[in-house]
Amino acid sequence: MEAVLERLKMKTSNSKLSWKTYQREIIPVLVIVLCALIFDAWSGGAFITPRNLSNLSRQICVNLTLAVGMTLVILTSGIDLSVGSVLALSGMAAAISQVHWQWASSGLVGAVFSFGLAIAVGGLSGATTGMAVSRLKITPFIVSLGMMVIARGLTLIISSAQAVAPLGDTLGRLSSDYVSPQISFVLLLGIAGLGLGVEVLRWVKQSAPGGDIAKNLFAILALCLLGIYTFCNYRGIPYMVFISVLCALVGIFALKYTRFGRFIYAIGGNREAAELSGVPVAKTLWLTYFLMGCLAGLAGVMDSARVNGAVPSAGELGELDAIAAVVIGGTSLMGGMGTIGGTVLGVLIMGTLNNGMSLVGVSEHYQKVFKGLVIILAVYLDLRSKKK
Amino acid sequence: MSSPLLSVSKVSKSFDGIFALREVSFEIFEGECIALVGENGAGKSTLMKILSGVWPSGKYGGDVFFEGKKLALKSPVEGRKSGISIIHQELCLFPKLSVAENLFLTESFPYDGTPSNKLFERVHWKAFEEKAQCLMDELGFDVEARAIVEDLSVAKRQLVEIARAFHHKARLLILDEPTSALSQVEVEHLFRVIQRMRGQMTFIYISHKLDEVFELADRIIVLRDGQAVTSLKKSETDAAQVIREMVGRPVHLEEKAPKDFDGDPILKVNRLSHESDSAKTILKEVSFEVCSGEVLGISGLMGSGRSELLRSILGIQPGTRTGEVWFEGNKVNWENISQAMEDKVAFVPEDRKRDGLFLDHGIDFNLTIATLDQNLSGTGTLALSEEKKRVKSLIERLGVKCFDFKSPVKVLSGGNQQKVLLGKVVALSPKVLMLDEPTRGVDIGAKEEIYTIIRQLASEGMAVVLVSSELPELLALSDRIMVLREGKVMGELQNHKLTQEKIMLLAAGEVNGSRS
Repeated sequence: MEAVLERLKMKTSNSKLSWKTYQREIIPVLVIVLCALIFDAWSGGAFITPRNLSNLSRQICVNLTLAVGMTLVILTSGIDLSVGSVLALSGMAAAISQVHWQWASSGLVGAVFSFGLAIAVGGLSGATTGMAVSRLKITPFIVSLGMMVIARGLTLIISSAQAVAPLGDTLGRLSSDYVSPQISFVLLLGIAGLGLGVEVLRWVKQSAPGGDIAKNLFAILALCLLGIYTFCNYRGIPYMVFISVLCALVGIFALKYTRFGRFIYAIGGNREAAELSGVPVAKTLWLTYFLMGCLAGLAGVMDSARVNGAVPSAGELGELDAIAAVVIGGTSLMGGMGTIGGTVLGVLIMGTLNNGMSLVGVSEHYQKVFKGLVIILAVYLDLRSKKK
Repeated sequence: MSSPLLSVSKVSKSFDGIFALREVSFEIFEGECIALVGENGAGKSTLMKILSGVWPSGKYGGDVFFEGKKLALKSPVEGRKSGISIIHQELCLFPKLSVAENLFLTESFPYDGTPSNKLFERVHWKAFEEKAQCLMDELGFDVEARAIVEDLSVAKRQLVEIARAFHHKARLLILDEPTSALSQVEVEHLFRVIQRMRGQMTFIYISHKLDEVFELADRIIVLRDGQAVTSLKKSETDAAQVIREMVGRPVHLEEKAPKDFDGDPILKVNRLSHESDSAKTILKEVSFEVCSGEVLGISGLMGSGRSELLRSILGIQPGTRTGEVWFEGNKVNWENISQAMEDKVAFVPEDRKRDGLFLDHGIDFNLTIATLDQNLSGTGTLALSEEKKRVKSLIERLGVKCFDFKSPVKVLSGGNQQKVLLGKVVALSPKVLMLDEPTRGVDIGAKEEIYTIIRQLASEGMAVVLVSSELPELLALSDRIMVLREGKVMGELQNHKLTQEKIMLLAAGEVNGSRS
């Protein structure tokens, strides 16, 4: 028995940084860097500028918010096709409350209420989907397909198929305002310091393989440097980026450090076994879809703020972008395997391609074809790396 | 007799360095009926998989010659074409299709009576069904060709498989435990069919029911620990010798000293009946008690309701239940595992890959998933370092052999997987432990270790309800054994001077046991 423990110890302390273990994180990062360099060269240095990167960060916020929720859903081996429509419905609800109900005139209070309304609408539809999936045991694909059509229909009904604009100034600032560069700098340094501290502590206590710690240190440093370069040189951190990154961080934390997160992996890994291990399957599933709905609501209000109004066609194919980011990020559609960290990389790849191709003037039609190819290629590569 | 029909020559097969078969050699001649016997884990199913092409040639050592030619199968389809057919314990039929479709579907499509490989051949249903009916009649099987397979009894489904093998011109038919789900009348009928067809086919009959073996076989080949130890002519041997060869050592059963379990039973089941949703009786008025520290074995043939009994008590068997379950003197009505777990009643399901384990996840994940509330920090989040300590102590306690407790459980051996599964519920420190086939597909060494763990848990005061199809296992572990047949209790036996035969007689419904 001591021999076994001895081996356990050796294993944790001796882990080396090996290409094989971390290729699934290294490859996407390399892809992003490579794409960025290509686009930068192609556009004559217009891609890697604080201004463009800041724009890019604002463009990916909506998808990041959706993709965080979608990761949870897909980890349970489910799917939520309704998020694009729910985004439209909740964004529309927020816009109507601002314009028709004149909440815009009550300044910050009105904005907060509109913001809350959007999340409530999203949460409600997520709760409905979740109820049908967890209690009535209908396949998530079908339930969310139905909800997708319903939410789109409701959006058209409440808006009479018209665009609703403009939002009040206060809500609009959600998109147009920034945390000031000075505060941003302090924030980023703070986060970097905190992250470094935690990782160094883990290293000292040897509570994680050395490779994992190195990987996290690298990620923290790279993100903070990139953040400082981008945001401190151009207006600061956009509010939207702040919010969606917060969502991602909370999601990462929840998956790793809460029972809820463990249950999600368990349900996706083997639902029968989860049930027989006493995992509250129905409750967990419901909560997952509910959270997905709330995040879609949040994405809805962010999307409305971005265009300063709501159109009934908002978020069309948004669900597919989110799903694509999740699978590019290495989460298995069968459930049980994957991380939000991977999803963030997936969102970054999609965002880089979108922004870069627009920047160098590739027509939108070609962009679609190319994006489709990238999705298939990414999943194929991931499949191959898993088999080895 | 001339050259053998099948000749197995020094066949070996190992999994992860553990030999399932070690240089097995034997010969079978045309027209013989051979019984292949051996304990669980003796290598019978591995051998069958080699003969049927599940393990393709090249994946095992040694040679197999069939009809004088070397057998080089690449897939099970080729195995069937070569003239070797196998009828597995779990039948391989399409339940939603008709008998006729099942007979002809897996080959080319002779839909109008003549074989054709065209994908878009028109189906001549009438000719097709008539041909199937002809085949059935010719073989003397009372099976309607148009019947849907899932409506047929298990016995008739077997006939369909035999007819299919015959249609495929099988020269060697292997039957793997064909009688485990049959009634006595059906067994006799099957035997008549086999006797009648012996002129056309050669049979290998796998079973551990020795009376059947002696009724049917000309010759008995005994496998033990992956080796073909002997071949015995029926006329020159008897059951005692076969058992000796199977076990390989004088049968020595540890005499369980009868212990008195006085005091109130911790779990008491009173006249529990269970009907499936289609109003089929699964359990009928089952009553039993079990005390702390006691091991109650539950025995019965396949389909006797032994697993269903556990599932019904725990509230996870579909259908409706009547009767009472008392736990620690209180009447309980568990509706799912979580509720039972709150009362400290734990369950280890039979099919560890389907129902028990998270195969892609680590050992640590699997060990703690049922008891995450035990390692919460003050803020309600998971304390990962605490968790790691618990995982280490569980791994140590159960003797799971692994290099890294983050490695996925699918890379572990069956025995270690089963230990992980046990560890998961042991972490709960349950008062009642319900085990369904705790050592299925586990090699002999690991089996002993698991027995030791179970004995240890019982001596610490856990009540254990043990369902097993392996009689030696029940005899080695149980204080008492309850025998079920067709959902009814046939008897309850103190494990004192008890033999496998006594249990089998009850399970087969041939005598009524005295209730003690």
